[in-house]
Amino acid sequence: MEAIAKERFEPIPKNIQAGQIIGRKPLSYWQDAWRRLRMNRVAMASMWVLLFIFLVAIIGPVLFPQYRENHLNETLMAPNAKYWFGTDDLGRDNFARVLRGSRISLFIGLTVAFISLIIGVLYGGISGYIGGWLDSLMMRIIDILITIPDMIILILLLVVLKPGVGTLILALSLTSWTSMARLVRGQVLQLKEQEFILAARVLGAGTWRIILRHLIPNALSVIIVRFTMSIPGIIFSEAFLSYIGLGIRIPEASWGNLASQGAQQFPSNLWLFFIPAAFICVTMLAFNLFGDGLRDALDPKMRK
Amino acid sequence: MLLEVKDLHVSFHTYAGEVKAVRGLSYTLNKGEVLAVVGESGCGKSVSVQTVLRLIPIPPGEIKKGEILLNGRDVLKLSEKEMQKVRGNEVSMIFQDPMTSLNPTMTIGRQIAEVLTRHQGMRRVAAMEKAIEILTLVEVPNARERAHQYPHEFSGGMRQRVMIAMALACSPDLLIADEPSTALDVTIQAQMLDLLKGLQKKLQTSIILITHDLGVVANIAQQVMIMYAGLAVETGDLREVFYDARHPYTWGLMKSMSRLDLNRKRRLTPIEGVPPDLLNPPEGCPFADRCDYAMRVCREEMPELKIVSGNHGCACWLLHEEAPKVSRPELNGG
Amino acid sequence: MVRYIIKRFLISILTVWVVITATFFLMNLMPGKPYTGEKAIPKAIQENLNAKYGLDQPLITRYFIYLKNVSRGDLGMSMTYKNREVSEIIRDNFPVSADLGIRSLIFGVIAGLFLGVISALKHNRGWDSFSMLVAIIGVSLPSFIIGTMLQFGLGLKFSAFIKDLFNTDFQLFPIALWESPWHKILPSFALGLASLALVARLMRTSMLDVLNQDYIRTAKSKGLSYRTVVMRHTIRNAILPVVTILGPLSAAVLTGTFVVENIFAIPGLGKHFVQSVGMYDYTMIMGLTLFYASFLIAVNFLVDILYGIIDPRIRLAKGKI
Repeated sequence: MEAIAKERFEPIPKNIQAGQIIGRKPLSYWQDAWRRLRMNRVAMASMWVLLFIFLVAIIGPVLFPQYRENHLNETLMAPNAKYWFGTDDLGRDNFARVLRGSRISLFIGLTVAFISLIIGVLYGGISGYIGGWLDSLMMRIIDILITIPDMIILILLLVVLKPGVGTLILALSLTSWTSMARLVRGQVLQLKEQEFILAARVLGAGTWRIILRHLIPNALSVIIVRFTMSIPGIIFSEAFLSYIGLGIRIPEASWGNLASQGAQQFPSNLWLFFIPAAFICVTMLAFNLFGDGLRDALDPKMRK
Repeated sequence: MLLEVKDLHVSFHTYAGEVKAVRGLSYTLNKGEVLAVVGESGCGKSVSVQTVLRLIPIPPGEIKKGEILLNGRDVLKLSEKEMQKVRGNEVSMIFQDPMTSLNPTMTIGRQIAEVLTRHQGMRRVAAMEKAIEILTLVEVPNARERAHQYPHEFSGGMRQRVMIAMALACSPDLLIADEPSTALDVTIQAQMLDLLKGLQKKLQTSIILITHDLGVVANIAQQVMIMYAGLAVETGDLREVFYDARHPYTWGLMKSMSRLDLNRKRRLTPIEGVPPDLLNPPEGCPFADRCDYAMRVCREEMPELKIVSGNHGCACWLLHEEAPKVSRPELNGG
Repeated sequence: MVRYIIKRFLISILTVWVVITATFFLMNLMPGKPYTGEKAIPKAIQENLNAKYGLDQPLITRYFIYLKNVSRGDLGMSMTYKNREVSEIIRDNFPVSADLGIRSLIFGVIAGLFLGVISALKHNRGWDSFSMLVAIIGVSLPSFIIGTMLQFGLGLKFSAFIKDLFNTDFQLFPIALWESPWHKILPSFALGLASLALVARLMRTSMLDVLNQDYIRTAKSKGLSYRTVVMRHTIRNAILPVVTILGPLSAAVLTGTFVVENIFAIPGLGKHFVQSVGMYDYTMIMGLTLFYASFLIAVNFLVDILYGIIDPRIRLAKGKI
């Protein structure tokens, strides 16, 4: 047996906190999510692309407001120094129109996503939290609504109502809140039984306080992801409806009606179709890639 | 000798760095014996035995070093094809959670028969008959009827019986049971261990039983290995470890052990603190921070596994001749 | 299972009724009488219509007359196509749409499953990135953009290049109409790409989820071959969620026909639908809406039953569900 200095066998005290302190740096949930999102280069690039497009949609129409002006002696011009994106069949500046279209399309996408979020959170929250027969009734209503294809409801509504941005927002909101409501209800049901809810109730917090202060923040990450992912779908619906002539009407501009207008010229004057089409595609792509990254970053299962 | 594990090191690569789950583990198992591996969760028990079947996912896992000799062959050197012939045939495994360990879209009978068609070249009909036979052996009532049912029609205890049937279908040399009763109700737990014990007697299969409950061990095992932070801290025959435990961690486990039979009034004393994070394992004894008898040397240097007597080995500085003599605390059972 | 089917069936019927009712009142409460319309209709015909559709009756009576007519399959007369019944137009044009839709769906689902499986099995490697790139592009490009791009790239430029190269008149990818199999390639691809992308993404997630399940570890521990583990244990379970989106997928393909048929001048029902929307042909819109909705509700019903058949947990559930 090797010799070991005697003093090394002096007793020392326990240190029961040791295992908990050393080792990995403690990260809060949101810090950890942000760290993972930042590591995802594709998602970060998409985020910058989206910020750029938002900026264009906000500032662009202020700098180039002439999207309605006809220049009848300068119709269907190819992109040039004066008209960077060319002109349409009435000589309107396509660049100004695309900027205006960006603003309208994104405005519709975000507004509808936001309205759906509010309706979904309220409906799903109430349904899940109160439960019982009210929950069953509210869920049966959703069951029936989702069995009818969205596009059919949209077309029907838009045929009946006066076309315009407001109508489109109304119609799209009516069809897109259901999936959010179901998601929220599921989250609420999961969280409802957890102990801290019980604690809050013991402390005398009211039902509404429980819903707003405890349940919803917990379900937040799932909801954020769904919110982000719903926006490209709404932009797509807007473009689709405008394309078949039910959405935004000329001389107002949106990506969908610009693409539709361009497609009527097809196969000549290609820029009229491909420029708004490119805006739609890039935005949808960026939203989807960013949403994927966000989902991966926020998914607690991804934590190791 | 059936199984001989020598100096096994297994790590997992995570975003934070390399987690050293098993850090130099050696043990042996003879034919027909039952070895109990005991320790808290996260001490590397499951990883060390799943490595025998090479079931840990690689990556993120990595077998850094060591040999696992099964009947004299090093399984770490086998090709994937050869490994498949070992799994379910020579060595099989039962997992912790029977609720999720069975395929929900396949009948119980087929899931058992599948092993037989794979390893024994049986026809489907014959394999099904054999499966029913084995289900009867593990005491599933109405086996013939139940073989055609799906997992969701079985209770947890029944599903674990099915898992055992599946594992024993090809009469393996070694059965690895990874906490087979932890996820079950207490009453079912006892039934499950009795069943395993009975089958072991009948079939003479060697078993490695993983558990965090020392109480389970006394009933069934001949050999015991106490693991802590990826290392074996005390090993030996059941009697030696039970009646002459030398490691303070083993003492701690014994004090926290629940027993239905004795000492109803005895207080259960859990071991304070948590095991060290294996991302940065301490240089010295990993238990030092939680140990009532810790000495300076414990923090500085890792004690070696020393033979106490016969098969009994223990890795603790208290066994050093210079160390102060410490008497074993009053334990129940002993 | 029987209870499950009955319950689904009742919900489907209820939904169809909701659609009929909603459509009817929406159309009748709006300004501008759909049945009389702005167009001048000869008095004799007007009286005829009155007798048949009860146009001079109060709203609620008309509603019940409408319900009765619909239940007999009478969806009324088109207002733009003289003397043609809506049901007749459906009979003549729907087969073309169905042909296009089924081709797209089969292409999308099979190719999507393939990409999804490959990508999950080769997780985080080249194939995975490739499949997911295809999928993300498919999700992000609306069919009307893909259709037009294909028409331009393959239909005009590439086919012209081939004509030049081989000095023939053969059009490799025709850009319009629905005649030879060659005509069907581009539209089916344009319409199927979105389904492909959705299926591929869902199948990948589902595969990765199943691959992490305990029962896959059990299957491996039994010594089964990689092939068996993948085919019998992983894919069999991973495909279940994909079956559930067949309903929404059919809806997406169906609405996709509205634009794809227009782009490629395919004489299907979708093209007529968009035209009737453009011309405010109310009977057509009502009839086709009802038809499409019922069709998709029926598809959903069949998908639910299919799901029940392939998932033993539902198939064998007694009572409860």
